Amino acid sequence: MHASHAFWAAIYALFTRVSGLALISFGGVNTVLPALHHQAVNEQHWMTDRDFANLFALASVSPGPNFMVLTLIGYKAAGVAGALVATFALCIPTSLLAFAVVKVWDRFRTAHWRVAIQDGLVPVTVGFVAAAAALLVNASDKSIAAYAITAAVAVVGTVTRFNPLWVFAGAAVVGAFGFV
Amino acid sequence: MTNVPTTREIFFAFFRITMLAFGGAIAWVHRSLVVDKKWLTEREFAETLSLCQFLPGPNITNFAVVVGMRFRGVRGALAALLALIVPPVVILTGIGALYERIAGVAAVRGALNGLSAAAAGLLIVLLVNLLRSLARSRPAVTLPICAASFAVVLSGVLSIPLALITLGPVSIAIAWFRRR
Repeated sequence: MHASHAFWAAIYALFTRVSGLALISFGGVNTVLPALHHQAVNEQHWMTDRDFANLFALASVSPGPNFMVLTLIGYKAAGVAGALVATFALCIPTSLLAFAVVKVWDRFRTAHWRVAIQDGLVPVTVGFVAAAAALLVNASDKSIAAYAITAAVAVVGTVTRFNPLWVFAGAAVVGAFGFV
Repeated sequence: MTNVPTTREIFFAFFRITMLAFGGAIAWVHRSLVVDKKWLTEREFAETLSLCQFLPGPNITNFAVVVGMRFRGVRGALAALLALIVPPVVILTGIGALYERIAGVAAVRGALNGLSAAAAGLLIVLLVNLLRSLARSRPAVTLPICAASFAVVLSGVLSIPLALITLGPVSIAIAWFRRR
């Protein structure tokens, strides 16, 4: 009984927290990553800081959009049902909203209020992405080698035309030998 | 709209995109729908992306809904969304189950630590790109707002929802009066 109660509590928390955060994730899911981290690690105790960083990394190197980290968080919290609930809580309410908004948006494309809302929200949400980056660096980088890998991906991705995912293969090998 | 694809063509285009989407799907959407299939022009792509970034939720699922709906109505939107989400949910649920079993193995844990460090770098790449585009229009106003939202969220002074309802209106008001 106790395990079953914990399971339904996790499912309920996944659904309410994820759909709530999804509906305020202006600019994409990375903007609410710090809040998801807070829920998963500090509030609901589904995983450690390290687990969160590992799951984010697994989602980045798997096929599918990067927001699929939610599928992995859901799995860690409540198994297969948790994975499905977290994914659909993220996608369905926001897709319905997108569905409803398309026509209105096309009509008001150049309206002053619409442009102001969009221009105003962008810098706020970019700040959230910065906070997400700082949190993940803090959760992942516990050694000089780890900082070097993070810096290598950042430099390759911003100043060269190479796909930074190639660095991931090297990072996995270096890590497997215990250097990270 | 240059060509109008069938529901079936929409489904397979988004299926292919999601299976190729390692480390971010939007680049693959551009390559597939604009460059290869020519279903969208560059301008249509940019305008649709800006709508999807403005709407809450994953940019890529919003993109699938908007494009699917413009081509083939509700059926088109559903085809694009299901093709995008269902295959990676199956794959990632498998990865989630595997993570529980093998995360304890030292070499696996090491490799995951290497990958986590690399994934944190990927978020820095995204951040740099966002800051670059932010700095192009009125950085004197947008960068301080961005720094403020970064600071209040990271320090834990305000949660993301609170930061959004306090800083958001201020930033929107500035954008409103600037453009009058």
